[in-house]
Amino acid sequence: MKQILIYIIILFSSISFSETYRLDSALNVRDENTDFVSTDDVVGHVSAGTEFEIVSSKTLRSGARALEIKIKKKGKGSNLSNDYIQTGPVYIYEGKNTKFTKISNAPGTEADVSYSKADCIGCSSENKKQMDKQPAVDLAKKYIQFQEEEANTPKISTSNAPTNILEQIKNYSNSTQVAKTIKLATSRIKRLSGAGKCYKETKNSLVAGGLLKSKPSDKYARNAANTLSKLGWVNLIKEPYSLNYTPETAPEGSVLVFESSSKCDPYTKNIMGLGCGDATIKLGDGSKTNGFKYASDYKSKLAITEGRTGHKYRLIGVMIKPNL
Amino acid sequence: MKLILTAILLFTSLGYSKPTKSNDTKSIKQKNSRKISNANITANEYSLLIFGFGSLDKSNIDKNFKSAFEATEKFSDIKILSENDLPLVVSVLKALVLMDPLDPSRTAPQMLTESFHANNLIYKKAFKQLSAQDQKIMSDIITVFGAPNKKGNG
Repeated sequence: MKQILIYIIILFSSISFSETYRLDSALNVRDENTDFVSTDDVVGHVSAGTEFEIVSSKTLRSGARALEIKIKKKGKGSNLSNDYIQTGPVYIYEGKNTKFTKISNAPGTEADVSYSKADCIGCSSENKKQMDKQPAVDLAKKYIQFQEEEANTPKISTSNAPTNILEQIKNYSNSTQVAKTIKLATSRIKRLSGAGKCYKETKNSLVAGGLLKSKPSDKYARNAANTLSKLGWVNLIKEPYSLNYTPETAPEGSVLVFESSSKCDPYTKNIMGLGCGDATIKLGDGSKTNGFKYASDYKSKLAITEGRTGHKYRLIGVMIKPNL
Repeated sequence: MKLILTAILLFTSLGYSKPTKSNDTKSIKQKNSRKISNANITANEYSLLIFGFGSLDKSNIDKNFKSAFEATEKFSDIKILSENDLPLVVSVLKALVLMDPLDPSRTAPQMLTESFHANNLIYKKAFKQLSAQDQKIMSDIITVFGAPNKKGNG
């Protein structure tokens, strides 16, 4: 209880200091903040008049600042899918000629504001000194993310949750969208070995089958459960459902999400949860798909956890879209 | 005459040779161990990698898959490879080819993506040293290396 109170206070303090800016000229929006500036990262643009908050900033080798932003209002003539705004993160690069105006009435910057007594209930003065704005912002972000996820989770009455969710699962597996997704994934995916693009191809199959309107912009398969949750999907192996599924018993058409301890680029590590992960579609028991039970960027009869490198993966999500 | 020449040579070499300072010894040691310090692995582990990869073949890969995979993981910790590491890289590529039928998710090659991009030239040289048949399989595995994909890895 005390902890929650502290979080709320930290959140309140962070929010009260967050500032809204208005863009004075059009800028490209990117889904990466790498030092290698290229148009590959550009996912759209926002026009003058766009209002946004700065979530974080990183100074690039070129000297420009990559700002992770939360778009509050798109300016007229902007060309950026709402999916990017919803799933994020998105970045703009602040160069010499970039201009934006502060429009919120918040007091100064976070750094200018000294911590008051209310900032840290029960903390010693030593602790207060150690408080840094970044952890506060991170905590606030996590709290907001939690709130958003909760708000987006379809409400299924908990009083009859078992019956209701089982019905939802049945409806999902029997839906035309799932049938189309499985049919297209089976015919479109020819490979029998991975190509490092499991999440990309899983997203493609979901869009092709009509289960997603557009492809979310996130990169790593391990984040698929969070991303889909934000889009209204539910994770059957997590609360409030906590159903005991394995890849083998997962419902037909469900999206299986694995975290991993194997890296795939410089930003990942060989540590569980920090690897790239894996995302795949459960095709069913294989009776209608030539024995293949899973499809991502390759088709397989065995789950990734059943293979020789299975110890590097752990199932963290069995996702379905309710109300189909 | 020979005696005079020897004396001159001896003199000149003495004249130009610098006394070895402790710093010089340190830099020579550092130079020799550059490969290992970059590798984040010990010299012993490095030797074990060479030996381990070298001992793999079609007949024993099934039994030795786990250790081959672990060795690949260890090898992926080596940040910078030099020309001296070429034989090791060749044996790693051979191991990837051998492991491929048992690793449909291509988890092992994925771990080398970073190493591949940081040491592209060495990998290219190593690739050329593979047999034509292995090169064909490796060409497909390389698609994984090209993967740091912005729209969905895994």
